[in-house]
Amino acid sequence: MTDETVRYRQLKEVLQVTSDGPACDAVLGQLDEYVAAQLNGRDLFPLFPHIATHLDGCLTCAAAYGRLYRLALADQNDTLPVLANPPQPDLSFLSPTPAAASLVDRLRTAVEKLDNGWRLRLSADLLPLLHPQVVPLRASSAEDRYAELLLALEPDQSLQTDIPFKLLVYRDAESAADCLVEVWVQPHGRAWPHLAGFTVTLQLPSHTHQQTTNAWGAAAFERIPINQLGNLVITATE
Amino acid sequence: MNHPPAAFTDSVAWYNACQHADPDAYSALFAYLSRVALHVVYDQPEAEALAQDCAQTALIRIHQRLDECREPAAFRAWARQIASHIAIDALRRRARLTFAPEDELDVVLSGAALAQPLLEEQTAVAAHLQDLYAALQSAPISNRSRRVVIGRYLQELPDDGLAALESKLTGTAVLPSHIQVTRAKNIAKLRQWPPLVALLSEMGD
Repeated sequence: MTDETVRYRQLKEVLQVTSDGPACDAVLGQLDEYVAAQLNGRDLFPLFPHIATHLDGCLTCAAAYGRLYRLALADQNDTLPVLANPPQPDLSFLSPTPAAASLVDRLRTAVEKLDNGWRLRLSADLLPLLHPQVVPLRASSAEDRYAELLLALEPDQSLQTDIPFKLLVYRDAESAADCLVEVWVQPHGRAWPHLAGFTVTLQLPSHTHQQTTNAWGAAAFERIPINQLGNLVITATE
Repeated sequence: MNHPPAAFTDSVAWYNACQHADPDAYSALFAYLSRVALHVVYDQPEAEALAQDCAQTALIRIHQRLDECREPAAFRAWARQIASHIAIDALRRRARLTFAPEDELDVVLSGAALAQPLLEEQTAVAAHLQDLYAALQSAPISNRSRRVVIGRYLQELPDDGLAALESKLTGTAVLPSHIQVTRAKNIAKLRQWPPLVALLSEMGD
């Protein structure tokens, strides 16, 4: 393919093709490397043609790039802003608490390995241990509706357990007695886009709900009664 | 803690102190990450509070993933990347990831234009490029916008070079990030410009 053909196709692509979420996630994950190469004087277009083209065609990623570029430059030049009222951090996570130890013990009995998947049984005494340590930033465009995180269980919580999924539960602002349950299936060694197709089942005393994960391993269940979370059984099978 | 956290200027020492769960190291890290996050979200409402939330989240994540930092000498940059991405995610997922005011460059536009691209052969592709060049020359965008699009795709100029050119033409410091942001915004405009849409449609695949 000649240089002219490459240039023509790239220009035509950015003028015609709009970006999508997964492509943005991939580009955002590489922006630090991209910015570092740029600050080191490297010619980016031959090194990162897909990122360079994507940034031209995606306003969101270009905005992220602009902020990350100026951040790297400010850090390099020691011109980061100073907070007017610097607070003290919450360092309670540095000391393992009895609650954390208790959570590990309880999770060991709550998580069950199946032939083709895993099962997690929530219980009333497990729920308080899943309250988030810090108030997180809601990860959704529907942030106003699902702003309050009620429960969080993440595999990277240093729990020393092999839990292959993440669980996030948000209160539904439109119906305060209900919540959104997000299950992210994340088996070891698997990543996007190979996480689609897991069957996630939520068993409640009153209902059973079932969904299939998307390419990110996510399945979301709306309108789950909060007062039934203590009896919730989550099964993820392939 | 009533006293300010100790300064950790050496990445390896800082990393080692964090590995030993040194509260001073984590306090210093929190102070640094707060500044990092504030730089990313500075134009948002309640920016300091948002930056502190991001820094606290980053602090815990760093503590949990310290073993994933393969190069202690690059610990500071690794920590910065975690905090900055948490801040970017916060903006993105709140639909507030927009161009920062700092990325808007209001300069007097120069009338200078880049030369028409030299095409080696009169192939169909070369003809298409000539047509696109002609369309971009008449597109309703500024001269600088035209230069950053043509410069990238028809002249193969890197953004550093285009930034240097714009700095020279305008007498204002122009960063490569300004070039990128300008190009993305104008390509978004060009996608809606009917003559170009029609031309691209005629060109087919």
